[in-house]
Amino acid sequence: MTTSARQPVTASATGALATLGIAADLGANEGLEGVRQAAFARFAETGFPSPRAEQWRQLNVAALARRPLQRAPLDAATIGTALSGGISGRLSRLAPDAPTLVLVNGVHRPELDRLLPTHVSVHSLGNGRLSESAAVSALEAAQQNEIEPWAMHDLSLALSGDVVEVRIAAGAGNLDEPLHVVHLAVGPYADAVSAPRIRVVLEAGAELTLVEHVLADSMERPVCLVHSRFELAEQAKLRHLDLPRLGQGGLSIQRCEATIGRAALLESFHCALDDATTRTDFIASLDDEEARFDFSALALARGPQQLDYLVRALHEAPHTHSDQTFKAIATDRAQATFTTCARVAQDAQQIESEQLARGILLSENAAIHTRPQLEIYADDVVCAHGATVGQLDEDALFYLRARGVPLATARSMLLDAFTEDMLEGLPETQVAAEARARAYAFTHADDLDPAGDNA
Amino acid sequence: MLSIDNLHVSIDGKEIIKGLSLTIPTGEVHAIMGPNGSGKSTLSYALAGRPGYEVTSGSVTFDGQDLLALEPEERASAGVFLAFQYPVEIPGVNNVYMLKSALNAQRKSRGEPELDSVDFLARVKKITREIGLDDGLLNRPVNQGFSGGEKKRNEVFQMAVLEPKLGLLDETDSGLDIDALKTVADGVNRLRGPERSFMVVTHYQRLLDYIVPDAVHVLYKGRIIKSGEKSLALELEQRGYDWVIAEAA
Repeated sequence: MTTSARQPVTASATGALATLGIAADLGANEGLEGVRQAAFARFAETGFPSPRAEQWRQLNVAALARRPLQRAPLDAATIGTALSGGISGRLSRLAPDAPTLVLVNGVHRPELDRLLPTHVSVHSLGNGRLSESAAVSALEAAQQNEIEPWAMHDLSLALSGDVVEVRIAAGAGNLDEPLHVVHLAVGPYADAVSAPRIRVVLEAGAELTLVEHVLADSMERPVCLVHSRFELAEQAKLRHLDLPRLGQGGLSIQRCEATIGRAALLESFHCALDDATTRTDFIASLDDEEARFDFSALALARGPQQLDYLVRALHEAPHTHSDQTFKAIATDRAQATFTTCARVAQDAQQIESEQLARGILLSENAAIHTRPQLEIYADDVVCAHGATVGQLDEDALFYLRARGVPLATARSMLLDAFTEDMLEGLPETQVAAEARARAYAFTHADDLDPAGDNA
Repeated sequence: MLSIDNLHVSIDGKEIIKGLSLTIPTGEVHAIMGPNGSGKSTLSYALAGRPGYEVTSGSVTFDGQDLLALEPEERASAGVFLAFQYPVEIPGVNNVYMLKSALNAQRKSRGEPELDSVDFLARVKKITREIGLDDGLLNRPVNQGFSGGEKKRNEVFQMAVLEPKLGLLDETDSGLDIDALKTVADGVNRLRGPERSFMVVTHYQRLLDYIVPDAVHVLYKGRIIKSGEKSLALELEQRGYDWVIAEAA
């Protein structure tokens, strides 16, 4: 561990650039330094977004500046030492017999990959199929191609360890064989920040089910800034599942951006699988006719957990379609936030867009915020939004109890019924089983409602 | 079977049942009639243990037990069944799965062995036929998308599967056409027997043509103001409630 790695990442401009000390532990990737240094210089100017910023009102990331954050190590030797002996077993249990691509602290580690089929082409610094100059170009392009600015982008660039590009050739692939991408955070110390970055390109007619896991290996309070970019050409189909689990005290801040071409389909399902706090900022640009974006999230929040989603569908072309569906259960003092937006460009006539949020609060101190937004510049569109947040239906509870179903079972039945329709559409994989297990553990927890607010 | 003594029930601090006493012996069917707002549904809910229905004084003894000391599910296990006036729609909860959970929870709490799926389904099939319930409704979410008649039929179906000792029928006739009314009444009559009692709450004597009661009580402003035989219901049908209210004043 180098001295520089122990230095805090701080929002204060004074000395921040010096304390990051990027060059000190990068090993072979020194050529990227310019990009990183410049990005960090910009970040040091702006700092973390303040809770006064509309989009960051609920999740206070500015508080990160007061934490003793350290950069997650990027060099192979430190990572190798930090990886626990059980990691390969854990990775194979995560996705048994399924193609898996592994990034450790954002650096592609091909020796941990498994079963990648030939039609999945991966270019990264880690596997040597991407040159340093190409990586620099890619990072610069990432900045330029941003659909809209992401407040964490500069920090994410400054900490980036690799550039990983996955490409599915035209007409190749199918939805039945998921590709798992594991963003694994490791480090010999707590409070480490990593910034994995992946770009997934589906050429015309290509199909892919992509499962993104964000997890940490024996590390306390990890912070992951994940940047995922999806590019869907004509008639491509991407089914995306996003399953962060960084453990209690962990924080995942993810930006997903997608460009969706003519008659292409992007389905994206999000479910935090443990008690880590997550922020997901998804922006999808529907660029050509018949493009479709279906976003859904099941947020199960407890303890001090916050699950914060900001999802925007940009209808840039006529006859495009977007659906944003959220369900949340929050207990203890947990919070779930759904800020959804559909923006319809002036010429994007005859689009359809729906935003729907439903939430159940199981304790007085829990909160579910829903903020649907519409920005419509066309005049022939169908846009709808609806939100309902409340407690468990007391009439239904009493009805079940009057039949002899004990209170705890009745509550579980109603909560299961609430989550089931979000889970039933999942591909039948290990992943679906894990999402179900989280929902089951959550909805059947004995301590769901310690105060008995709904008794 | 059921003995209610000087019962007072309030909702949100407002007293609705004001000193009601009533005894329903084992094997009998008692009808509770009364004008709107007299407290008929409140009485049914209070007996079933609905949260928010606060018993401020009085006692209810059921089968030798203090009914008011029991949670709603314990009352159900003890043998009380409330057929709801407005059966609740529960999206996502399968009708027959709910019923199996309910039945087995009741059996478990009574120390009886749980019914396995084969025995349970045989029972369900038989009763579905008897009640005339469309078996397509069995695997739908509880009451969701059911017509008014189907909901009431589903209540009687559940009652038949659960075999309670006391059936509380809260305006089970409301919203039913004459054919549905007959089917529902047939279902109830099939359950009548020396071991089972019913409290039938209704606005209209029409239901009592099909479910013939052993006694009729008039509830007014939270009290029973007159009790009589079946003929009382006919008299109420012809003369309305005013004369009973005047008589009681």
